[in-house]
Amino acid sequence: MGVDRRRLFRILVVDDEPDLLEVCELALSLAGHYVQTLGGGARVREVVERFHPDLIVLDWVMSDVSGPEVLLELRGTEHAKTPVLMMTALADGSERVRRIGADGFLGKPFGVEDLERAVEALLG
Amino acid sequence: MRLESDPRRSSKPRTEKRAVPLWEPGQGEEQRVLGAVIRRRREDILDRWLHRLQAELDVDRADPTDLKNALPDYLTKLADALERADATAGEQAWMEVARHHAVTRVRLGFDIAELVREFTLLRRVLFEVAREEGVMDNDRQAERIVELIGSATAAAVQSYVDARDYEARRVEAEHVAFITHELRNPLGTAMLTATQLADAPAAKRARLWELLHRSHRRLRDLVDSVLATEEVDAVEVVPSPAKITLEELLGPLTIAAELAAQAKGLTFTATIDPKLVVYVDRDLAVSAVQNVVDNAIKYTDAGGVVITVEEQPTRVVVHVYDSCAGLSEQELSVIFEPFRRGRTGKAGSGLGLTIARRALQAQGGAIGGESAGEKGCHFWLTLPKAGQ
Repeated sequence: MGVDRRRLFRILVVDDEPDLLEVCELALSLAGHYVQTLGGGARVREVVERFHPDLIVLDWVMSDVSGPEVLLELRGTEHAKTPVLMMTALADGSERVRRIGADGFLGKPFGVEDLERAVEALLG
Repeated sequence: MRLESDPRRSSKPRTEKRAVPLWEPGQGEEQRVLGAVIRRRREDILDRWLHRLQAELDVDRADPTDLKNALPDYLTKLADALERADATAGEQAWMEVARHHAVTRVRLGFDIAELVREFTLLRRVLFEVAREEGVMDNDRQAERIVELIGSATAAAVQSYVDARDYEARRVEAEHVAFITHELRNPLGTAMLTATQLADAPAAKRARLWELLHRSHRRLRDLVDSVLATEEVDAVEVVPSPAKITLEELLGPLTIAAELAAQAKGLTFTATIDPKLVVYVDRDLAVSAVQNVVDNAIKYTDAGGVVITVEEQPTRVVVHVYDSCAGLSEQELSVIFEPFRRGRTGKAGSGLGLTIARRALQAQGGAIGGESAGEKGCHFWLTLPKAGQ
């Protein structure tokens, strides 16, 4: 893992795909981070206030509340500065993510190295 | 994916021809009389036209408001054009309405022959009414009506072709985006899982293998569904109907559905007269009912699913009620189209109801749905009954 192992982070992963959520949790946990997962966008603010993540990994398309909506809601709170890594399977995801002002972009599908690099870029 | 539009016909700039005046000076009075009749008898003309159109079309296809669409406005503009001294300006206005009318016909699924037929029927009704009013007393007036309806038909057909090509491209792009998005999700899980396997601790590997298998199965199912729809699209489905009892048709399906419902903690009841005999292609009919019942269970999180059967003189209607969160009018209007999911919250290919509809239509059946708000949804499938 490229991230400095002596500095571990609290990471919140939000996606309504349970399997992907589980593998992301496993990958980040094995890298030594403290990971919290959430299966939808509706409760992100509540969990953020309790969990105080250093990074939020957020899916764009979710059935309840979408990633951009979550991002907008967070931007109006004291957690506005918490970096958000946006994941998306949308074709023009990179451009869209840039437009809405997320801190990082991860296009699905991605491998464990891509996830590590993206996390490292925001926290390293 | 099959693309129906022909790129060679795509939106090349078209040169607008200058409108030719519809009548010569000195004939204004005749036209004004005709215009006044159309204005005064507008509702009658529309009713007669609608009556004939409905007799020729599949009556279930659209409600009268949709069918009339821009026609009331069209007739008003037509009357304006006839009454005005400046015929060219009037013509622009009603030609525009004719074009707009054609565009909405694409959405209602009309073909070109039906569109042309609409204008032919309108011409006939106008002739009738003009004769009744005694204003069709010379050939010039008859010619005028033919000319007016003829040019509107040409404008409408051109508009129809442009809109249909555009619609085909838009739907095509939506399909590709949908499939790509749906493929990327399980592919994302597969890739992230596979890249972790080598370094994962032994205790985690079994679970990773399981997740990898599962994502592969989802990918396979999605590809299968896409191919199934494409096959139905590309090949004319020739059903092989036979007499079959509802017990044979629905028995195994309802047992499987009951198990699936129980696994989700839902109630499930199926009240079926097992001896009723229908005349259907067994595989196609089972596939259709299966898709609807699967959806009912998938989208219901609390409550249950109820299946009942209603016998009618020539057909049997299978009703499927669920207590899902409901569907909006907009969702109901697209739910039978490929790659559209009413509620985006659940995994699925967005093809189940499309396959069901095509399977039924191929053998003279039909499918429909309605939503009672948050009380749930009701879908029904009609199956032709075996001859007595």
